[in-house]
Amino acid sequence: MQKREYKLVFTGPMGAGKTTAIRAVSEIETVATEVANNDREQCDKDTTTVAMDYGEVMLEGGSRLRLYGTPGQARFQYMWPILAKGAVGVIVLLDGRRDDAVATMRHYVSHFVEVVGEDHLVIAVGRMDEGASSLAAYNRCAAELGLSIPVVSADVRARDDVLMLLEILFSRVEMAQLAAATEEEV
Amino acid sequence: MDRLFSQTAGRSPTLSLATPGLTPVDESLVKSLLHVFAGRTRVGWRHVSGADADVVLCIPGSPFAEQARHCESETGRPVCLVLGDVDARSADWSRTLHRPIRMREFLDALEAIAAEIEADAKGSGRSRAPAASDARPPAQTRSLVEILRELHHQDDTDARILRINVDAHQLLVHLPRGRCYSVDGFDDGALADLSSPYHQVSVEPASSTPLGEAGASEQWIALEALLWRMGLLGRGQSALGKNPAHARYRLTCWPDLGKIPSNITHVRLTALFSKRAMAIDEAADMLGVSPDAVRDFLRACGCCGILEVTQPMPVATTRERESRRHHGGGGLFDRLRAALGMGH
Repeated sequence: MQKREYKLVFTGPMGAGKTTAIRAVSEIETVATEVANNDREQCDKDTTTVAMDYGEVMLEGGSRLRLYGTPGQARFQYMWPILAKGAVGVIVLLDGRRDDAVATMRHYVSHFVEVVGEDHLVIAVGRMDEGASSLAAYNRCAAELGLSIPVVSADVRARDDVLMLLEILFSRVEMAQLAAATEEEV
Repeated sequence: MDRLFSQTAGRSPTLSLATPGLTPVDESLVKSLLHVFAGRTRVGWRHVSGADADVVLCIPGSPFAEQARHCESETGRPVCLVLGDVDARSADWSRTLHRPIRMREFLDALEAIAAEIEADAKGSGRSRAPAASDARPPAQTRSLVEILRELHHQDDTDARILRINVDAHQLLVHLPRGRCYSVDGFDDGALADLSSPYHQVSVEPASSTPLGEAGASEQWIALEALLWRMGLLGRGQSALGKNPAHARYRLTCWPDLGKIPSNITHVRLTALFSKRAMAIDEAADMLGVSPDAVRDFLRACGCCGILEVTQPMPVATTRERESRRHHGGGGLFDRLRAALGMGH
């Protein structure tokens, strides 16, 4: 079997949990490019990622899934298309406590849908228990963009929640392919 | 009576009968008559508490009767039969049984309804099935599911707590958190019962109880999770009933899979039905799951208010459907699942 390499991207603003999500599923010690956070206004945490996070999952036959986390700060936005190009999927992580979470979603989705397509996008909203209780505003945002994207709540500190996001992504791509194939037959 | 008491050959199908609001005496009489009729009628009959009824026997003018009549007019199910006094036949009710209940009249009514349901099933090419719909009873007789669904979709984030009285039960809904609490808990039996449309439901503001004060925080269940479970359990609540056999369904958005108790089949069905409109049998064939599993899923989506019904399409042949089936195993995503230890 030919050894192949696939990539999966976790993206989102500072403090949304990208590093944590990658750590939850990576089989290797994750490579993080974290430095002291000088942008406390945007997010109150000690460190932030400046280049990217990196993890790996080995597949049967020697193939490998590379996990990338984009830097959260806006000034590193130029890296997004570089990291996302050819990715199996992109998972956008949001902080549900923030007032601008829906606007942030719009910003990220608008950029990444151009690179990977809507079937390869999943939106995960964290800290829902501390913020708004409903995902209605996020779903409305997706509808306004003319997209049908999964929007779910998730706590990426829990490995099961990260696996759920991956299952949603995998199922979504598979079912989109299946639906497209049957549509052609019809 | 000979015709009525002739034993039906082979195993007959069974219909369910609910008797909400009847006096204990009348209910006991109905149950005992059903027992007497067992094996001697066109179809089998069983008495149920109301959550999963094909036929409802109730008192005209009661909220149950109005609710059942509305559901029947919207979805064809349940069939409504009223129990009134001898001179109470009203033009409003097409099927009336007179009090005191007489065996012959009751039997004739059940046989007529069974024949009607049978004819209807033949006409539509399928048996009546429990289903999900957005049937909307009059505001004053809204079911608990409809009230909870409306609250779930409300954007209002004022710190408000509502008390919902469901017969003798009380639920608290914390609107800002979108969570619900019941001192009785939410086991499957309680939820199946609460999902019945035959309860008297009223809503009132409650005092400003902080989340958790009325019970441990884990006892407050997310509204969407509650609606989802009620949809899975409450087959009588909302029916796919009057939809044509090959109606196609589509999800308007994804349910919050982070909150609802979902499994991998639910994730795949969500992915499928959110991608394009599809008939139940078609989706079942594609994923290799039972049509009942698809119906349960759609009913849960209907309860959460994210299901829409579209026009039926010509049915694919079995061979065509087989060729469309999703064959797992060996693909990239199955290898990824295996590497990540994700069970199927």
